Amino acid sequence: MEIKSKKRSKAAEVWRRMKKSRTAMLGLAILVVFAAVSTFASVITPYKAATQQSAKVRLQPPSAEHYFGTDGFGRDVFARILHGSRVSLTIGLVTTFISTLIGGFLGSAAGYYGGRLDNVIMRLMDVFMCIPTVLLALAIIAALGPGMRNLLIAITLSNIPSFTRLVRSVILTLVEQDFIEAARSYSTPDFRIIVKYVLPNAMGPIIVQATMSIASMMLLAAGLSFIGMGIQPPAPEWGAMLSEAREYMRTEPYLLFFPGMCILLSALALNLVGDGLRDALDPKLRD
Amino acid sequence: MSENLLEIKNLTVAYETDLETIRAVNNISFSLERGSTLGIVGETGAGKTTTALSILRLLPERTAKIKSGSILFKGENLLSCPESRMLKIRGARISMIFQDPMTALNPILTIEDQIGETLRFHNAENRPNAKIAAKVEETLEMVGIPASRKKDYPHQLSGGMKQRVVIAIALACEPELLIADEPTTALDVTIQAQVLAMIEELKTRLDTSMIMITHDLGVVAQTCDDVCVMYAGEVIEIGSAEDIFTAPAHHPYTVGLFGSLPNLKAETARLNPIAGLMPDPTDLPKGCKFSPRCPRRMDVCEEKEPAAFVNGTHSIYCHLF
Amino acid sequence: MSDTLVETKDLKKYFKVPAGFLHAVDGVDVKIDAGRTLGVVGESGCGKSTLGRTILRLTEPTGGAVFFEGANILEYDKKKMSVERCKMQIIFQDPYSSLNPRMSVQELIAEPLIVNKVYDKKTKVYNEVSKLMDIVGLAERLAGAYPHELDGGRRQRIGVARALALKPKFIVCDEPVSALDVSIQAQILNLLMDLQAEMGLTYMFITHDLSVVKHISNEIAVMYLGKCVERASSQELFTAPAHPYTQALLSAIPVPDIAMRKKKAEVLGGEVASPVNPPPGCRFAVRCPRVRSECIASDAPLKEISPGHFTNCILAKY
Repeated sequence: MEIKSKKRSKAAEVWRRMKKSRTAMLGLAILVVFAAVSTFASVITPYKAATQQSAKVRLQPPSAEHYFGTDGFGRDVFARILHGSRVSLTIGLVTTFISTLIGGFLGSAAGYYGGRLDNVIMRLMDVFMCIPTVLLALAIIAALGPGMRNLLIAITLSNIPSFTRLVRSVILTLVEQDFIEAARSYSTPDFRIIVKYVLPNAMGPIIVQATMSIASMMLLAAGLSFIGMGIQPPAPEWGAMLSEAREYMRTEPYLLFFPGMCILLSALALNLVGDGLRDALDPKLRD
Repeated sequence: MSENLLEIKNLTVAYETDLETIRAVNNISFSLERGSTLGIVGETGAGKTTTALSILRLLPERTAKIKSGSILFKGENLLSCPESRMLKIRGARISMIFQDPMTALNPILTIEDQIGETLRFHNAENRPNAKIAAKVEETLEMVGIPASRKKDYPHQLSGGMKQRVVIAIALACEPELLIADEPTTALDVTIQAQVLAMIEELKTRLDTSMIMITHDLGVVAQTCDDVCVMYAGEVIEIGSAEDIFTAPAHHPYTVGLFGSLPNLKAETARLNPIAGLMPDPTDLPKGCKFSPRCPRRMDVCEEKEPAAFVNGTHSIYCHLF
Repeated sequence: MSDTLVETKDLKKYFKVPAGFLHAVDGVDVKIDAGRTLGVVGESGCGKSTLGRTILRLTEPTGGAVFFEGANILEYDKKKMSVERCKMQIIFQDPYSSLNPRMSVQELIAEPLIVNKVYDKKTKVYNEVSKLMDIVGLAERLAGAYPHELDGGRRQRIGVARALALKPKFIVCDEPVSALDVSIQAQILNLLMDLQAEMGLTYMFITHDLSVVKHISNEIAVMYLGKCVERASSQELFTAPAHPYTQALLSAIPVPDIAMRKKKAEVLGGEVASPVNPPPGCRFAVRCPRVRSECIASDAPLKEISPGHFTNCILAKY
């Protein structure tokens, strides 16, 4: 009897298992809404509304005209949230994705080969880790100049050391396992061992760390924007909006509420999806 | 017949979670005479360790449920006595040796502290510290470790030495009953021989009774007076060591266990293992639990649980007899 | 007499540790004829597992030579070795950690075939996999199962199938049954012996269990602290052990026979010494009940005391 190859159905299998988790589906639904909103932001409300200042409509509470009210410059908060989502989500996703990739690569190389390579990579990471994240990002931007692209580079770079460390520590416990030695006993090339044996088993902690880091990357970007090193005003960005809203915290709390809620919801949604994905990828937890 | 130190009657233990119920121990009864050693033999999942933990009331509270039965220790039912009473019994009158000496010791305390802790906790006569320190040294010497090493930490000791310390802790209060759960499985043969010889000697010296849990029939033959064979949470055969090792009639499972062992004396071409696997403890077969694997199965085996066939001290739970 | 398939000459493996060098394997000579089984026994830390791994070059030896089919494989470069390694496989002790938990049964068995590009089509690979599963007694329906869903005996069958996939001539069995219950252990032992008879395999069977080793081996090597202290046919070793350590080992086995109980075997005292920077002389001297001053003077080589029976104990007579 011929056995049909199972490769094709693997992604479908993961999806089928993920569907079973209600919380993961909730997270995914929130993410889809955010993604749709940021994609169609210009259709819903023009970009101009997000930057147009008007002293007449300063600090208005939410109403039918301004769904989320207006800020200290009379700009429509709803429009700013919509357009800001593009910037914030891009920063969070892109920086996390790239730093996971680079950190994952460096960490697996260091953990798998050990010895001198491990020493060189990890001492370099130690140097980076000695510098506070914000300071490191600041220094990079100061050298490269402000702007969206440089902001991405700065945040990505400052996030790499923690990923490298995490991946290396997970891999160190894995390379001790017999199944790695078994793979070598039938002459599996190193690259295949890392990709098919080591990384799939290290996925759990990596995914958790990645989903959590998206939210903190967004906040780091917000902090940098606040001190003028990130997104340049008047361009909208959730973190920057949050920082600006601090002045009006007592009198106009809604200014704080909406961007804060957005950051919270997207972070929560990402965590839920991350947890679901981790469980769906683990055959041990299969129904 | 001398008095029974421990008597277990119709004990049934199950682990219950939302998803499933694992029937770990099913209606077992046996007793232990003062001064003797009872061996409990069986494979993984036979319910040996659950039985031992029930005696000490150390089962995980959240999931484990004792469904029925009683455990009488010198006439007192351990299952109905309050936790405060159990604290006084555990370690002082009944103590346990665990399988893995590597993890049974606290790595950040010296062996002196760890042995002393039991003594201080069960300090009924209010002995002063100096007396306890002297007792610790005496206990160490008793298990063959020079007292000069009392300040050592567990990582400074070899596997055999660690197991000696674990035994020292268990015997420090001179308990009446010692439960040894696979005490030598993690040790090498020559060290195993040393430890078994030592347990044997101390048992006689301190007049302790013992329950020896093991999967190794060799260890049972060398140390036990009575043997109880467990399978899928049930006692399937029980008797004196002579009954189990030399009597002609046996439960088919016991026969299979012996057939699985490579014989050191005779030259055998093939082993005769038991076919199949242990039954799923969440879904045990009806009737005799061994019937699906039994080479001598009859129709009645799948319907009715077998009653004991008693021949003197030897009982076999099988329809064949 | 059949041909020699595997032979080691003065094989050494030292590990660097903070205190110096750990002599895991310290000048071991063994010889295995094609189609036969060499049992390697010893206690934990005696270097028996390292010996197996060094022969397969899973760890690089410090010195000596390993001959496979007459050629010294230590001289092969990486590429040649990876081809040659297909003829030499290993079965691991722990059926839990030796299988990648993220792969299904058929993926696990297919992996050696895919990596070494044995077949050009996927369907051929999976046909071979189902043949292998049949050989080791794994039911077809388990193909999509993951290792954690199976019991120890079935997992070990996966390990056996994986080792057989590349049609090796020589298999190192590193304590393949130690983690299993007795009844399952017997099933796996029977399987290994049947496979040997059918395929003409050569085994190196590493274990600490003397009754298992006697059952499966033609010849047995006893190791103590990195040295092979005695080597003989299994019949000879059990009837006339020459080295005091072998004698102590044999008398320490608990026999499942109560008639043996009265006869209290003399228990070997002391503990295994550290293999880090061992002093010259017999490694067993500190525990040996018959030790003499000559024993600690210098290393004694293996000598033949009767045809096919070697020991390094200087007290053994010709």
